Amino acid sequence: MSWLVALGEGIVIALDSLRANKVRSGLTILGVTIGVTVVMVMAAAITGINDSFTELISSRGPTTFYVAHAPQGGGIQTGTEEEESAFMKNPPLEPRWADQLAQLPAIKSADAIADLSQSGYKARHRDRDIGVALVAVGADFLETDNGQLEDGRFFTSTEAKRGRPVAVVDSQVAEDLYEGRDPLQRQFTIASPSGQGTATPFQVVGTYRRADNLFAGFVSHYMLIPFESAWQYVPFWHRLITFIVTPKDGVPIDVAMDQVEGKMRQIRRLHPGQKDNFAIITQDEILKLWGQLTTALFSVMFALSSVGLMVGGVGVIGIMMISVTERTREIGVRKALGARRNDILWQFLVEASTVTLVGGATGMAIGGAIVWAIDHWTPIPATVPLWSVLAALGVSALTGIGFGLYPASRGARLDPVEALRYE
Amino acid sequence: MDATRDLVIMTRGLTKDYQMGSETVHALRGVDLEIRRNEYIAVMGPSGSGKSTLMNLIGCLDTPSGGEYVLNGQAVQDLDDDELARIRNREIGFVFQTFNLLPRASSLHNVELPLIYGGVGSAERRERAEEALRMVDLGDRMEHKPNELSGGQRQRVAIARALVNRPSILLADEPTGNLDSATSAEIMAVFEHLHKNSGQTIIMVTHEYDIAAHAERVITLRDGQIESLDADITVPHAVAQ
Repeated sequence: MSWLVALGEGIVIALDSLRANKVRSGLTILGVTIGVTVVMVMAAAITGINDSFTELISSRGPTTFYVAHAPQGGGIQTGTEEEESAFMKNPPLEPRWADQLAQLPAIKSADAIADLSQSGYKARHRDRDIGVALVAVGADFLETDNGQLEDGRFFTSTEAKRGRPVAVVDSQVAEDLYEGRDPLQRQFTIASPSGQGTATPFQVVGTYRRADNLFAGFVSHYMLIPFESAWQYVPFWHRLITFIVTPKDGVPIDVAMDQVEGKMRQIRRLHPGQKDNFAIITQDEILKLWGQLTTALFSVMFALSSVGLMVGGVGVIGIMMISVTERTREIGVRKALGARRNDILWQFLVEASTVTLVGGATGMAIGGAIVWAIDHWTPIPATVPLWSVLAALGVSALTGIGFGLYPASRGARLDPVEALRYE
Repeated sequence: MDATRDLVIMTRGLTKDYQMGSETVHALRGVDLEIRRNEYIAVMGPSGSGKSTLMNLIGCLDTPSGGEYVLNGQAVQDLDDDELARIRNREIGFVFQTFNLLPRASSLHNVELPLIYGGVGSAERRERAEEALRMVDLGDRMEHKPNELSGGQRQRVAIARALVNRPSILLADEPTGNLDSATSAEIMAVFEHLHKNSGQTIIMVTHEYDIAAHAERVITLRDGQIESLDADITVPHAVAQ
């Protein structure tokens, strides 16, 4: 009963003194605010990135896996420097091996691809020269990609097999290369990073829009060409070749992986006892690596926000000590009127947690605004997970209670005679 | 009338010592006191005579170093903090010289405080607080904050707060010390009224003779002991000097 009234009273008193001492209170809650803001933004960003990543990976189908010359799934560095350089010695994959893998009984398809999007290729049309994110893929690329063909068509499997110089580009390429004119059937040449141009002109057969995904958002001027065409016309670093392997329906992934590994060892002419000089990477492994990365991020976030909350907590001790001292006489009066120790303790704990909750709520508002801005103005899809809101509120209230305990118990233990005499 | 059954306060050999550095101060040196229901008592004495200490012990704000204190038939000298808080809540109504109202709270909320700590439900609490405020003629000032009230009105709110839990004793410490003489008279009239009509036991500490003159009996203290249990203050200078 009295605790309920004290709850309301404590909140009113706390809000009142926050209003009366704006600067002091502002500085006090700043730490809590920063801590909560950090938690919110990081949690939202990581959740959003995680969702995109998982979506991206699983869009390829759950049993699809990759063969690469070294275990560098999704561009994530996996080993120590020494291991990395050992991997670098592995010979690159040769595109024709993909066809051999596709012949395996457990395998439905195996395509060579090469992601040259980070390699600095340029597209040229007359005197125009723009950087493009070039990706060499198979004809059935769209089956496992969430992007959409906007206009024209994708390249056919015949074109892919024969290595015809055709390309599917995004609207950005169309705009910058052709000044906004319809890009279909127009031609361009591809220049390597060193500036060398290909003699063979490529033709635009379709336009394409990437899925609304974090990993799409960072890359514009996206350009897809058949792998075979890249192999024939575009000089590139062969260690970027990767095979996308899809097992036949109903074949367990480890059976397929065993067959692929055996075939690859045979192709590579490895003796029994020799280590694989290639890597088979499953989505699970990529997701696991990703999980490790985000766990590390979460830990950093946790440490950062803990510092903020600690600073806020020390501030709470300060403001509550002042509050208890300022209201020593009031404590005396309340005790004279029959308040027990716990009544006073509760009153100040409510006050302390109100202060930190205001800090937390402010942090949530700021964090929410930042998250909204990130979601709207950057390619990072950020959503605030409910648990982070609850955690932020819980943690800020607990900070108030934890750090308010000492000042509150000082107040609760005051001798009523002394307290009433206090000027 | 059974004399012992009617006793509200009985002390036997009440002592209180304070440690001031290495020195022990004997603030009370054995006080025997009996106060009956519906008595109206003034406690006087020079500063340092121990009257504040005695009031703190009677008000259960403090515990004695030695002796016995029986309040309404219950020995209270050995109770712990929370039990004393309960006794204060039920049995004692305090009126202070500086009113000691919560500055941010309305008259009504101030008066409700003892009921809150007594665990009274909100509907009954409000009803009783309003009744107490009406009793001190402040029925039209319930939502006013202390700084919207005059000194006399504030002290009347404080009296309403002291009375709201129907305590057996009203303990007033220099209740008119911060008021002008007209307002003092007004407050003394309230006490008079309570004494006559509510059967309240009133114990009032004062150093003003004309205020003390309102009481039925004047107890004087000197050097931590009772000087007189029924002092004659009609010749004030004889007592004071």
